[in-house]
Amino acid sequence: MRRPKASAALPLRGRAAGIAVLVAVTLAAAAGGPRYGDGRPMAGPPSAEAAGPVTLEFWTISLQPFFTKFINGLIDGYQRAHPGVRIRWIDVQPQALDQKLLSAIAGGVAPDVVNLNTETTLRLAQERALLDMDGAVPADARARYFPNIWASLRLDGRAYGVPWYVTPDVLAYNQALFAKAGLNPAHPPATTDDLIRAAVVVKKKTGVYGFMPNVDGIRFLKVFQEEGLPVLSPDRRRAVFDTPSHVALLARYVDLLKHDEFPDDTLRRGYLGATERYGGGQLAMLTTGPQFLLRVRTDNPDVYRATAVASAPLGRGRVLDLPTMDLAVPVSSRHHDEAVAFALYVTDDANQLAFSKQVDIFPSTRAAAADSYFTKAGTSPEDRARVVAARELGTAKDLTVVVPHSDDLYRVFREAIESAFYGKMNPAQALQWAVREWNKRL
Amino acid sequence: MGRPRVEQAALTPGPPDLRPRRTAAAERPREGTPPRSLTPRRPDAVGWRRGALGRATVAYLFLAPALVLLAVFTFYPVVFGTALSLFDYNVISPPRYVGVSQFAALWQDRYFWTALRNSGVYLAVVPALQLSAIVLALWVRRPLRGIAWFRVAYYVPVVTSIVVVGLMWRWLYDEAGLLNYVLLRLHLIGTPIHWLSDPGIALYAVMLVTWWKGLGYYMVIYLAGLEAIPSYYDEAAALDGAGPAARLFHVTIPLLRPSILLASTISILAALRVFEEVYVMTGGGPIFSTYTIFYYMFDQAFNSLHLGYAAAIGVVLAAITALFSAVNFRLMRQGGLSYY
Amino acid sequence: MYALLCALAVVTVFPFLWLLATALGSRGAVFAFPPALVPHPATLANFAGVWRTMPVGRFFVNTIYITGMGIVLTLLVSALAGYPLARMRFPGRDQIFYAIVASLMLPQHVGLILNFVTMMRLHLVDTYAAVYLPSLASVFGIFLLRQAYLVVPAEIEDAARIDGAGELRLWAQVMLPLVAPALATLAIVEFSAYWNSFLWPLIVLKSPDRYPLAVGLLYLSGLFAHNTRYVAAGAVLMTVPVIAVFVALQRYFLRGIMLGAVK
Repeated sequence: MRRPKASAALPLRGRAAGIAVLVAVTLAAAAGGPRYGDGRPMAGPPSAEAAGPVTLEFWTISLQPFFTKFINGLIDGYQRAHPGVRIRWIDVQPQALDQKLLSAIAGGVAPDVVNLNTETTLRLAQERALLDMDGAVPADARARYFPNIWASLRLDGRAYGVPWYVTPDVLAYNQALFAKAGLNPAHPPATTDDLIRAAVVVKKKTGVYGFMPNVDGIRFLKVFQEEGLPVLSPDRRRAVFDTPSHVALLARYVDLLKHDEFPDDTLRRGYLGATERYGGGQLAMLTTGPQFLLRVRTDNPDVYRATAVASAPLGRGRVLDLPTMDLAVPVSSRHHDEAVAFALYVTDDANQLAFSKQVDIFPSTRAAAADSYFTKAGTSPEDRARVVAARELGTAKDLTVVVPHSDDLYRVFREAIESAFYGKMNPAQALQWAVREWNKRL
Repeated sequence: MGRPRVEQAALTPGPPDLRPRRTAAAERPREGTPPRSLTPRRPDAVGWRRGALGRATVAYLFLAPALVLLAVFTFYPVVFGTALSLFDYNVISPPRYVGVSQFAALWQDRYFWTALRNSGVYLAVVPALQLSAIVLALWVRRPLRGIAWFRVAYYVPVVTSIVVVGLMWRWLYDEAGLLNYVLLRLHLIGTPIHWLSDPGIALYAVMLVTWWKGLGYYMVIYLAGLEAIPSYYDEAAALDGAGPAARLFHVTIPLLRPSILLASTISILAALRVFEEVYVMTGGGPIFSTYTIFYYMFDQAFNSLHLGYAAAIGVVLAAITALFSAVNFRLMRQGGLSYY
Repeated sequence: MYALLCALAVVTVFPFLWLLATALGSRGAVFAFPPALVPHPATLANFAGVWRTMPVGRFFVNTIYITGMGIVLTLLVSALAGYPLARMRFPGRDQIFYAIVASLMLPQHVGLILNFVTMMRLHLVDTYAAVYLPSLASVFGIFLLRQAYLVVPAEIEDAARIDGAGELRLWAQVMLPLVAPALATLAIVEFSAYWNSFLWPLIVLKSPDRYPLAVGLLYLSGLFAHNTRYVAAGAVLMTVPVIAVFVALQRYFLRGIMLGAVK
């Protein structure tokens, strides 16, 4: 946490251990004991019920500094319309969100509105930390959102977040590298099969990697679904990702890695590594959330000029993953009503449309997505890709797999996939093992 | 009087001692030890002006700030964390007493064993670090021109933020990074090594960074230790025809035991708690090959919200740490010099 | 001999030079093969970019304040606590010393959360004090100072007492100057610890205008994970002061460490 590790020790002498235990026991009796006895959570005093202006703490993920102005504008608008409410905005780094949020909850100062992704939302919902939005949001307000997106935040039939923006992948590709490889830049790959074929050609003709598939960590769970292969049985009681089709799919990617068709830091660095490589002109195709293209544009103008954008290649399942950002209200917030109202304001049609125009993301409400901005195809590749993706909003869904003990199961899945990629197990063994482990806990 | 007399202190570099009861200087048969009259007297001979109670009050007043701070920010979390191992706790709901069941679950937990094994391997960094630091200390002890700058150069990694160190090494280790480039150019390797992506190598690559960052620190400890060893032992061995290696292993290292004990204990603790290097460079992968016990604890606490379970891991880790420290202590003390 | 020393110096220092080269490099591939050791054209654009992206100046001021307060108070607490442990005899002394040392062995992983709760109760969340308060009682510092006091000859103390010095005056005017090298050592160790700490400040601070540089670096490395050069520039900004302070004070430092290390 703070001290230099090197300074952290002295030899423990014989008696010291005994004394330490003694001290520990004494202190436990004095300090630790009573807290457990009464069984209360370590929440702060439930004061501050007084009238007067309500201050809502609003946490976002990684929106500073690029969207500071936009969010401040939203907040100003809300405060003008609601003089009794002050918004305190705090932007958090994703790496530190877990620690910061848990500390805040433990300290009884949970944020009132917090921006989470689907996975974290459902993980916290499993621990009963979040407000049930199906209960808290009136039906007419709920109806504004795409039902499929709203439903992706549900656990056991209750939704635990208000959908905010969604970031379906798009395909960015380097036209110069395409031309060099003899591929037609006007016809980017439309399916994952095309994508792989094109990548192999690029690698062979130019020596530069063609693509970095999104197979790191647990993202292969999504790959299965994109190719139309189920992860769980319909009753969600059994894992079923060990059929020959699943094995063949994994084996295909394992083979690609073995033949050096994509770089092996794909598994370690994922889309961040891919974005960096693409920005450096060392990757021909990048399947990523559209907001990352903004960064390529600012950091590597040359590469950006050569870039064209198309809709993401679809797998055989013809489903598009919709990674969703939502706004959740922790149960321990003291201002549930105000917090929900603010979350609904941030995610309303006008504000989502405005946000979408700031950066290439997509709204989760139907009216915002029906705006001409998303329906009229312009001439630029970005415009066309946007229209194509917007059309999918009503049918696509967040492919995050919701399971109990998700962390334990994800850990197993990650081990299986990596074992297969690094040749420690063959794909069949790896998936069969993972399914066995999953079924023990489902 | 009453004013500080620095010059007098400079004359008497008596060795400090960890043992609270005895003063070491009087017991150590050391070459160049100052005359007995200049060594510190027993501390208890000092407070002759006041009664025992008054002395204790003064002592505790001096200690008060440290004790209050330690109680609040160190002892309390340690005790709470230890007790938590018997509870199921996720921060959100009240803790639920579950007895030792979490320890039983640990026994069945493959990731716990994976992490334990990796941490066990990680301990190999301790002897490597100690041996190279001793050799390095012998080198930089020589009165060569500009040697101070070499010491500085070796120490710079120690004062650098681990975040920066991790970033730097991640880039060095890149498949197309500098390390592979140099090795390829020297024809030491035929194809680039996947330092952080090969499950058979990643752990060692991370250990190398720990070695790199720690070398200067231990070098300084051994420099200090060497100051205390009279040079004629080494000279005598050289006269007897002992080579450099023989002198290192049969003369210098045995004489350095006190420093080795200190440094290796620090090093063992650090190795068993390695976290940041892993966090910044590999995130525990690939295939959990760099998943260390401390990393697993962090993962369970903050990613899985199993704080009680993480506490149980912590208790096991503490037991292992104590065990290794004790073994190390015995090992280093055994057959050691009479005055230690 | 020099060849060996130089070779090792290259190993320890070279990564920093490469970091600098990366930060000074212009846009484009970082991992070009062969790697460009001398950036050309060299540019300060990445530093400018970092400067534009976040309030580096503000972060600098915060870091200096937190580090300064942290060091001064840590030295004070350690210098006070080490004294009776080394030179007084009173009931409970050894137990206290052992307990302090033993606390290093036990797990502190929930310290982050518990200390946050404590800060809540003290109403200190989002203050600078919350950042340095938990680190003030440094076990290493207390140990180091105790070692330093132990070697002060009794004659000096006796002479001061005959002069009629009280315990506090004895400590402040006689002892403290004698342990100056140990204090300097502790100052440097704590400097790099306070300067480099990031996780705790990130948790206990809420307002970005109170963030220290290390948190800014974490921010950068997340925000620009795909842009190595920005991150490298941030890392350079973060590291240069530490190395500068160390080089400036290295004389005291090495002496102090030696003083503390011998047992």
